[in-house]
Amino acid sequence: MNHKTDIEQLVIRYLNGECSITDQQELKHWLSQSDENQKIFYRTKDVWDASLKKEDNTREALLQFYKQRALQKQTSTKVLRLWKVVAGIAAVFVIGLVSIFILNMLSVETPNVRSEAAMMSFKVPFGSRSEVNLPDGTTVILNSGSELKYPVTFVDGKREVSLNGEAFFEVISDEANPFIVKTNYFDVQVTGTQFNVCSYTDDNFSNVSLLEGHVGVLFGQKDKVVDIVPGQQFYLDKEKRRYRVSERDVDMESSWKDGEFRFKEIAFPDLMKRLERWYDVRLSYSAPELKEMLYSGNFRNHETIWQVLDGLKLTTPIDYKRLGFRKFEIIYKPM
Amino acid sequence: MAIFEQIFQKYYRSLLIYGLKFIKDEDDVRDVLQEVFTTVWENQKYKLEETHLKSYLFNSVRNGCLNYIRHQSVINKHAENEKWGLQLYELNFYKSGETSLIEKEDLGKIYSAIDSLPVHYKEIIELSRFEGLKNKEISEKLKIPLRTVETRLFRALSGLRKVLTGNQIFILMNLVGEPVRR
Repeated sequence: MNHKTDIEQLVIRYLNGECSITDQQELKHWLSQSDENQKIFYRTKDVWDASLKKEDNTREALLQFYKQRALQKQTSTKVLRLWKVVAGIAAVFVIGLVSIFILNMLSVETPNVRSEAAMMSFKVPFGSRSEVNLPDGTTVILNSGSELKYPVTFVDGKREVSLNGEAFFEVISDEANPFIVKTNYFDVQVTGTQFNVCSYTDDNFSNVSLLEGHVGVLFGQKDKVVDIVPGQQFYLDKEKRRYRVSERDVDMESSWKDGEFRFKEIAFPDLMKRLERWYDVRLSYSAPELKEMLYSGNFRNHETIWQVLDGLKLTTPIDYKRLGFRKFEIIYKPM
Repeated sequence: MAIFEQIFQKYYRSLLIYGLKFIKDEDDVRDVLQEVFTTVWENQKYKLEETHLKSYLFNSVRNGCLNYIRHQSVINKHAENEKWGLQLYELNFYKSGETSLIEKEDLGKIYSAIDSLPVHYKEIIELSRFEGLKNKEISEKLKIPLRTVETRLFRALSGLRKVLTGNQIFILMNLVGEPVRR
């Protein structure tokens, strides 16, 4: 075994992000042996970094710079530095801690602590949708694979529910007692309105679309509030920890509640996730080309997954294969 | 704001690539750059003399990345300690006076240096760094063993470094026909 060659290969594997855990430990050990090793490593990494070819889009960058400066002055858009939502138990653990922390803060701020009302949980399985009527008359339509938690009675007019998944809300107006929807990533505070919240833990985004009335979205340490008006959507990119507010076809965002699924330029992986939930199927795919595709189109709820896949086959460069019970593989097939 | 724009255009891409040394996510690096150039604008740093300005820019980007990583590592205490550790060492390495090739050399010169390498080195760097292929994909494409790809890539990087830091730089400059100022 040639030790020098081994190290060279190890360094390259690290640089190209193909390092196994054993590799990483070995590399760390080698680095800790001498300053000379560190020098070799960081200098090699330096050449590696320097030889990355980037398109020269400085002109766009300059425009972007001016744009962001202008926005910063209006303070209408800010870069949101939420805690990084990393997939995995560690992150869930952190989020859990943070929410416990926030809950504690809330209870400290409330002078007379009430006895908590009994909580109800309403869970909709994959492949179906359901409607819930809350004690104050508010209607909630829950999409596939979603869970809503709410108190049996709203004590002292306090209207708070929590949602994991997607739901359309039609909230009964009560100026004195705002209605609050809690999600893992933000809270939505409203008086009387119609809006759609989409917040599944396995999506890399979370959003609120407003059809009527007025809502405020609270996030971070619940000290930041973003107000949106009808026709707008608050969109949170969980991975990049950024949010934006933009004009959207909000009717389309909530079209699922009428048994119709309409999309405009949705990323293929997101489309697959939605179909999985709606039809309670598993769809697998591996072609990198698919991940880049955007899809626009309509489905009707009464169509079967077979019909939907056949439809996709006609309009996009894919084919499909049944792998087993409710399991399909999507194959990239250039037209 | 002609001077500001000139400076922005001259350094933005290099600073972006420099920031990517320490932070993987390009959008996050762009955020760091936004802050750096905002300070340049507001505090009229563009009035600095050229060499000072250059090291000011690179230092600011590095510090910006450091703050970012510190912030992130507090948040991700449980998740990615190991990875950030290596990055912090690297930042210290540059803080202690080591200058990156990206700071020293014009990007165009780096690309022409790659171009000047022997063909089997040049090919492998281009596939990896320009086309973004993984080592395994390169091995399949060139029909050579994976270990050979890794070794050859390492050698190619060492060769490139020699070209860019050694005397060979002068030969290279003549080769690519850079105008020599007297």
